[in-house]
Amino acid sequence: MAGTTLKSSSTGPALLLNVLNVLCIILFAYFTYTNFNILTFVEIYIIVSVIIQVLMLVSLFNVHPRKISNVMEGIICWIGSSLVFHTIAVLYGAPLFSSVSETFHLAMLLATTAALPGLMVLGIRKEEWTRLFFKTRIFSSPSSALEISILASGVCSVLGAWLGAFPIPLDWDRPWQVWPISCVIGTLAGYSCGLIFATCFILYQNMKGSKSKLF
Amino acid sequence: MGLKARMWILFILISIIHAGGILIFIKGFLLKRSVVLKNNTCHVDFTMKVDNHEEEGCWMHRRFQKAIVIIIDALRFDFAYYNTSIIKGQELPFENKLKIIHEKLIHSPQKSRLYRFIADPPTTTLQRLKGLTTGSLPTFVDAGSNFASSEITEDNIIDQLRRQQKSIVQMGDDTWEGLFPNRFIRSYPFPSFNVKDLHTVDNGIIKNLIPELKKSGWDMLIAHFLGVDHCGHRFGPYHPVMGEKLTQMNDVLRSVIKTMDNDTVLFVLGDHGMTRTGDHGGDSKDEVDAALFVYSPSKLTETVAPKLEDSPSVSQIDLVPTMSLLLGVPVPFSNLGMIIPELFDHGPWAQAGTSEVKQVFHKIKALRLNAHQVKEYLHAYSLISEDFPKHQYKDLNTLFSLSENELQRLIMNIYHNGEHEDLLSRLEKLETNYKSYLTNVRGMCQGIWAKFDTTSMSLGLFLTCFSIGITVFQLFHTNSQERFEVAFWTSTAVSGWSSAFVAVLWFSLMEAKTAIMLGTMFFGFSIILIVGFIIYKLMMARGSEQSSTPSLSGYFSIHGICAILITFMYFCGFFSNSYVVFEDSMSSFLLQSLLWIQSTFIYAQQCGTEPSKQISEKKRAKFDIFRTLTNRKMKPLYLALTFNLCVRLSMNFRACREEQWTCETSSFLLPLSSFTDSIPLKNARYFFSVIAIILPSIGLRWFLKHYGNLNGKSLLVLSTKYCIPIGMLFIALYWALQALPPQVLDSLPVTRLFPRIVYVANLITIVAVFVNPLSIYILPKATMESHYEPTAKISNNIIPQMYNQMKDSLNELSENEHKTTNGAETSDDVELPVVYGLATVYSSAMIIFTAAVTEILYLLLGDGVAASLSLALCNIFIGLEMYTCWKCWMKDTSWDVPWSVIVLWGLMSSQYFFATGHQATVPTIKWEAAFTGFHGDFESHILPGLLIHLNTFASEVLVSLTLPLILCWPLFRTSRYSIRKGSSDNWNEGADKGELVLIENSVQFQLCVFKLGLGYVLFHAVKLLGSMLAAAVLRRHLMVWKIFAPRFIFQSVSFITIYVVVIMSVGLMQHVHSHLGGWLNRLEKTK
Repeated sequence: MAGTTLKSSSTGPALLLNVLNVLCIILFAYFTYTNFNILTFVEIYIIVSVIIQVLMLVSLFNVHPRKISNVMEGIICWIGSSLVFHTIAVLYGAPLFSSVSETFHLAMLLATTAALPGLMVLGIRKEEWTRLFFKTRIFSSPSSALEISILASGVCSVLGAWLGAFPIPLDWDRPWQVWPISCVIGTLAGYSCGLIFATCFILYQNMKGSKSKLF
Repeated sequence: MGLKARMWILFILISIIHAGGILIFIKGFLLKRSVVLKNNTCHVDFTMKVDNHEEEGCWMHRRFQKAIVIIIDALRFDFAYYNTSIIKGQELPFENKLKIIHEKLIHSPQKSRLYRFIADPPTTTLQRLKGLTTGSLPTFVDAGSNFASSEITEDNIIDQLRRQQKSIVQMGDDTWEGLFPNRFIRSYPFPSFNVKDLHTVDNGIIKNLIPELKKSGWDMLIAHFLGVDHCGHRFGPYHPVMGEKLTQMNDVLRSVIKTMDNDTVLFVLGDHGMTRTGDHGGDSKDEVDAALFVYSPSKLTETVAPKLEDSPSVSQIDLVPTMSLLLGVPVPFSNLGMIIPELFDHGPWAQAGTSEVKQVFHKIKALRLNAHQVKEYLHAYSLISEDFPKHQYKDLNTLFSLSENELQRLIMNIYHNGEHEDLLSRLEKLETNYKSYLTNVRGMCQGIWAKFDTTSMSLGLFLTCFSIGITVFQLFHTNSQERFEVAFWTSTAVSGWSSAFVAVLWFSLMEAKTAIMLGTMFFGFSIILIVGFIIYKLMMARGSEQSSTPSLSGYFSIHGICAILITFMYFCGFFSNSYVVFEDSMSSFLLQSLLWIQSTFIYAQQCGTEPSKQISEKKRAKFDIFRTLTNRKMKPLYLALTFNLCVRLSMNFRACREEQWTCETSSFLLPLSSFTDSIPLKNARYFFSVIAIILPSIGLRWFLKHYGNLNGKSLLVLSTKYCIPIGMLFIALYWALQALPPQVLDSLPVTRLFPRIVYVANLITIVAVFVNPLSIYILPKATMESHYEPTAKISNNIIPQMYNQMKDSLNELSENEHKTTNGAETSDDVELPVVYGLATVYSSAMIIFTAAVTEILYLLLGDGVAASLSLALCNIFIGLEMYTCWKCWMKDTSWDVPWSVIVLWGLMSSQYFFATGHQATVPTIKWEAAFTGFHGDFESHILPGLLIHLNTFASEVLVSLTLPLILCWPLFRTSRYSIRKGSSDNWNEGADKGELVLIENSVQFQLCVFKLGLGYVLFHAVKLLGSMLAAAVLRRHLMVWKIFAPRFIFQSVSFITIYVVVIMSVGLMQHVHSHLGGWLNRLEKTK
């Protein structure tokens, strides 16, 4: 499922995917509010999110079944990016030996929100990634709805995780200030914000241009 | 007046405004108390005639004739308290060692008392001694002057005793001599400053104590032991040496108690406690909780002893009135303490012991005298100062006169009717009245002596803002000479006027009204000037159409905005106590984030500039992860990774603040001699540190050799070649000695010799840099023919030499070509001199200077945290490489250093302040740094002060020194880059000249260096403003003395340090510049 060139007609499915992801996060937050365990929370969220994204991609974007062979590559890259995020978290000052599992869960979550959508759509080649992340001028260069969603949600979830670290040193003694809960919340909040931003942006572009219909 | 002179004028003017802002703010912020110079005498109008007992004491009949005061410095309450629940053999080194106190409490409960002796912070010995003798509350101002103890002028118990013809003997800590010169009939002072010395003071006292006790002719004997405190500073309370020390103290107490007679009282007290690391100065429970043990062989009190577990608390200033009245002398005039009532219910001379009413009455009599004395003091104080809030003062007076009337009535009652039933309860009520009066007075005084002078504070803040404004204004106008000239006059006029204002404020001792008047005048004047400037500029702009502001692009690009945001975040962090407490994490977090932003930016830049290739489907399939990872373009990411790794590693060297309750003390911060149980660990740490300091020096040598700066026999080259390695060697030897047990160490003279060798070696290097900063070498003409043969002079390392020779002759060639085009004689076969090291002539001088300073810093930081300084060096190197990378890929030849790089340097200096084992609190200052190379008996306090200062601000000094390297580094690094790549890439035309381009564009050089220094100072000034504003806004915050005030003081000292170091490094750059100019002139002449 790598390297699918997307046409502007994919706007509708992309919007649906975004809305569904945001809904999923809200529902999740609602159901786990009373009985919160960060590890199970992250694990279940990752599974649900992956299932939604894969199903949506396969059903809505008609990804060719032949490309499923690239799945293994994608999974390896996903684990690899989790490791990268883990390393970055440790470099930022997360404990090296204690609470490894918590840190790794955050890393997996970041890999799922920031890297996995990109891996599924762009594949694993550097060129595609640098094109999307460093060459896109969001208001000038045209790119597909899906790519804009990936860009916005990816950047925003990393930013959210970064901002999530800010409340940790405060002396409020809240349970969510414990590492890495605030960062997990920040990641998901940032991810949702990115998706909402992308949705608005796509709708705005559509209204402006009205070149393509929604579905 | 040249460009250079103008810059210096601006630098100095801005520094004056900054310094003035800091000083004026401090004046309003750090609290002061007026001293009432009045003494109490025997005959005051509130004492009754019957109370005057002449020989037997005035004010009250004395209870004891003689007193022994044994001060065990830093005797924490739990050192003195005997915990019976601990099984024998399992106690910690400081527990259950003072057995004699326990024995006395058990066996003679009415002859002994143990109290928690609560100190008023700051818990430094000098402040405590003032409190313990005058009974007054300390203010923050005194805290800084721990080393320069001055004579006490307020009324105090020592003078009161002397006025009653009592003689005092003092032994131990020589601080007493400074506080009370010529007051003692005999004294045995011993130096107190040397905290490494655990035994001199104590053994000196022990030798003299018992003989002195057996002599007659003294009425009070003060013995001040320092061993426990020094042991805490050196080893901490958990070290076995502490156990030995306390056992020794126990023996002393036992022998003292044995020699006491019935008319003597013994006070054993600690002036403050210590934290778990053995430091003190702050106001944590461990530091404030000292112990007070009172004992007399005769009956002390009628009150039944409380349970051992809950010893009552008394304040340290309570000791003064208690001791005065027990000894029958007047209470010192400015005392605010309250007597310890239970020590006053036994009066054997008046047969008071029999009746309970008489006991209580006796107590009340003492309390009444105490209250009267406090009232007199308040009255006197209110006459000279309007500090007291009116109605609170009135309420207190009412309470006092109520109790007084009640007492009169009671006495009349007793006189007429004798004792009756409710007398006791009325007396007890009276007792509580007096007590509450005294407690309330103390509360009020504590409240008002925390009063701020808001006028000075806002003036200080305003001045700081103002100088930041001038700095920003000047920074925006330093991109070309014309703009600089124009802006210069405005800035100079404004800042000159304001520094004159500062001077007037400072020397006229500032009355509020005149200050405001002057302030308005000055403000109006500067507004007029700035408006005038703007009008002038507008007119100029109309005349010439060059209104472009190229310098702004460096500030308002993506990374520039991010850097501004990060600066702003740091600024905001000062307003939250949590962020100040965890500032160590905050600074590294922001530093790392900024670096990631930069490296992503660079990466994005070079991805954005390269043409996008259409990759065929076939090529796509071949995806090689290793090729991607080893791509040259990944360099910024790898640099960022290494940088972050260094920062992460440096986190292990952090010290713990007391508020960081999850923090564990790093083993790098323990002295090497405390690794008693694990020899391999000891060795590992030692060798780790040695390797960590040797690697940078190898790097230095390699660098200088590679760029040809290590040839010839000039003083600079020789000192670099030999002095620096010798210094390293002696640092390593000195650290090896640290592993020895301290007893052995103190007797070895080499412990002082080795560091001195290091100082001398590095000072030689520093002097050499100043004498002749050019580490270049002209190849003699004779050897010119034998270019590729090893000559006698350059016999070793032929290949690098040849490479350098070729490279440098290349440089020199282009240099000469340039000169010839400038109009000098043109001839093809003119002999070209071959010069080594011309491409790095500026940076080599900077680097050698930095290396020499770093070596001193290594020595001062000690073997534990020195490795962190190496990490800092590594980070600086990576930062420079990163910037070079940036320059190369953006094909940017301008010398303007972007704001984000300056912020990176600023954040690095902040982060390594914490990573070198410091925190912005008084207890984490490493006082022992003053003893590297010196014995500790200092004549003046300048040298130890400097050493401690350098230790504390090591990172600021190091990072600020390397600042000009940002300018130089890309010049010669990019030149290497383009030479290697050949002519394919000629974006950087002057690249092969290395740093020689700096001398060719002298004006541009001056402007850039100036701008760089000013920008860096600006970052720290913003930090200073943040901490100042936070201290001002949150001055009523609960934590202000614990968190915000120390942060502000540390920030202002570090700011001043940085300013001085920046001026030094900019000065050094200009020194090299002028030397190089002279050298080139001479070269031209000889041709």
